[in-house]
Amino acid sequence: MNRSFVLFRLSLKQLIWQMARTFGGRKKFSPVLILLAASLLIGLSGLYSWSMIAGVPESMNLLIPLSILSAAFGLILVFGFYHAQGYLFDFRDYDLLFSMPLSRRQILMSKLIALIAMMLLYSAFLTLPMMVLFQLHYAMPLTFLLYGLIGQLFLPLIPMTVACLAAVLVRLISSRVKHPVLIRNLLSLGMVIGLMAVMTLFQSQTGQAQDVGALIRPIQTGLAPVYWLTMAMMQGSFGELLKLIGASSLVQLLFLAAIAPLWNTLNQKARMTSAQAGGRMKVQSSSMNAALFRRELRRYFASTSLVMNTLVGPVMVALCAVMLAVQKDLMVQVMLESGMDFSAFADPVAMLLLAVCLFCGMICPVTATSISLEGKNFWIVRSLPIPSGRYLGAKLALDLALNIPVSWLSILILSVVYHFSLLTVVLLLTLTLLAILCSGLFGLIINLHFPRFDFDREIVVVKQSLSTMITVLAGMGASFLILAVLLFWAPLESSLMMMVIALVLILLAAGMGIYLIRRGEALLSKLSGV
Amino acid sequence: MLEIKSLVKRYGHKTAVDHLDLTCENGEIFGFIGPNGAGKTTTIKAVVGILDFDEGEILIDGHSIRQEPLTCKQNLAYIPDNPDLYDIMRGDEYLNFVADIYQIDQQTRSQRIKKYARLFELEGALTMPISSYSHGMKQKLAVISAFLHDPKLLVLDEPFVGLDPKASFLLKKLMREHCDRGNTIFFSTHVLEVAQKLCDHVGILKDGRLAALGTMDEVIGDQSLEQVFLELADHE
Repeated sequence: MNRSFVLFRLSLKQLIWQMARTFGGRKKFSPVLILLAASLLIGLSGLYSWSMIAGVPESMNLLIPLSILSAAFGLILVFGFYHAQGYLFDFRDYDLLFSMPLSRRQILMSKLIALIAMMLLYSAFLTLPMMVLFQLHYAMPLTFLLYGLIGQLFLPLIPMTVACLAAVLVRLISSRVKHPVLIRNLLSLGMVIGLMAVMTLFQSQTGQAQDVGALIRPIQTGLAPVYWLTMAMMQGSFGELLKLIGASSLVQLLFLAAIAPLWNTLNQKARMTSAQAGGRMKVQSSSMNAALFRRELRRYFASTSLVMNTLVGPVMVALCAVMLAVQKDLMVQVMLESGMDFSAFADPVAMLLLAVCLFCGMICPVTATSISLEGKNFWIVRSLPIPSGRYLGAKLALDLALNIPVSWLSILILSVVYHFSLLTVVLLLTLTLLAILCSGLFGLIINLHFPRFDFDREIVVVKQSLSTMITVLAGMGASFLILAVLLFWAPLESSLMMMVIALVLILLAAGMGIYLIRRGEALLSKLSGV
Repeated sequence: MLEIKSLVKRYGHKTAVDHLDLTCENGEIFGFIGPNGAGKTTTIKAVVGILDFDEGEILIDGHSIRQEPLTCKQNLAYIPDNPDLYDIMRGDEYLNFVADIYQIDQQTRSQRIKKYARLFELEGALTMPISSYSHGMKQKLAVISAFLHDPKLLVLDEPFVGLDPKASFLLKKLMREHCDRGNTIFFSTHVLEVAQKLCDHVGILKDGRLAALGTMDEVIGDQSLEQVFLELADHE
């Protein structure tokens, strides 16, 4: 059998195995979970597509595939960057594969195939429901679906290559500096925020367009593969499909040719750790709590994928706060023009700030993955006399330490800029604290129930584990629910409503805290690690 | 010091440890041997509280590992077969972390870290990141961390794997001295010559059950431990 094929099959097997483990491995309920998760994603995506089909006039229906495919393109770009570092540099079979008679290009290609397969899966959830619904609604010719499906296979190639290049660039720079992990974290975080900023700017540019032509032009130039695929599907143009296939394949091949020789060196550098002694030996005693917290902190900042996934929230809060502080007049104008009724709130900007703090603080708590990330080191904490309360408390403390100071500082600064009332400030601080506390506690409970110790790349735990998925969905849902209650259903005056929500959050936090105190040790003892 | 009573551990339908009973007294070195997959590591992980078990009881100094895990763990130290330590830390940071958990005072920890680091020739490496350590260096660090709080029960899983001959000799000497002070050592090994020379008691595990148990003389008689082991291993 062809060696490349053997490698591709191995990569796909690894990917499928990882996916299966995400939903509980061989546990009885795993097929149900897979079905539930897939149904949820397809359902949400289908609902979104249907709302677009129902809302957009037929004469402008080109915009539907165009916008959904653009979203898929952006999704692949951001998620591709998250995964590229893991797929290109952090896999454990590196030594084994390189000891075999395989070329670097073959090995690199096999890793990229797995990455492409994953990106295909991500984009398929977004685009396939749209294609099917669009085909049914407008009775499109068969080429719409056929070209759409073929184009799907090639659409991820260019954004994924861009993401891989960014990942290579980050490794290239960070491998040459004294503190590679720190620099890698900073660069990666900067890249993700930069990508998000570019996507937002692009979206606002298309949003300001006056007609369909003006709307399409930025996509035609900025997201050419999306435009080609849309035209191939809508006009049945085989030429446009060929453009997509040709350009995507060429970019992929160029990437392979350029990176393969460099890749081995980069991989070796990434694996090498400085054996240089760092100063004098330290013998310093501290309390158990301090030791555990310090360990959590070190663990956190040593993981680029974890930092990228969770520090985005506090950074976004800080950026939003800066924007609100600097662009005060513009913000007030935007809120007035948004069409939403803020009359019930004494401080509408405070509501906006609360929305940002809640969403960013609740969506990705560190606690959702911190037990899983113990991985092969789990035996250490389990064999040491550490009370479960202190062990879990250190993880919660890290989550609070990462999220609370930024949120509180933003609230305090903006309360001075916008002259919030004292009651509003107190309520904002309290609600933010309680929401982040609840999210952190929830993350711990979920991670205790759905840990994932057997991972070959941290990104598998950080982005793909069941614990992360449940916590992210619950965090999003909870933050939307709180805001929806405050904005759309307020039988009480807004401050009173906030107090009621705070009370509910206190009860929730107390409930989860008591659960962890009572059941924490029993749940931990059931986990055996790798 | 260590009592294992009718221990049963199942992985799905497979019974890894099947009604295991054994006792280790104070001041004794207990060698736990058996072929691959016999259930040694499972038993050891259950003893140190890493692995939950299905039936039976494990008592350490009279305390149940299930009911009073913290009291038990305060009295024991564990070295796994593959010492996966925190790559994010330096050697001295790891030792300080372990010492902080056991609340060892500054003076004692300083003395012990220096003493054992000198013995295992790891002084210079303690300020280096653990990620740069070889397997043997990690094993040495794990050994030092285990001796830091002078545990009453030391549980070791294949402790000599990866150690150089000098470190291996040193560890054997330390194990004997530790037991001579009234402490207990429970360890697994495939190096039967070492087990024969070092152990006071020996248990041979096969398919999760004890195939032989007793003092070294009782188990081997006039044969070598290797001969006894091979006979038991071949005997169906």
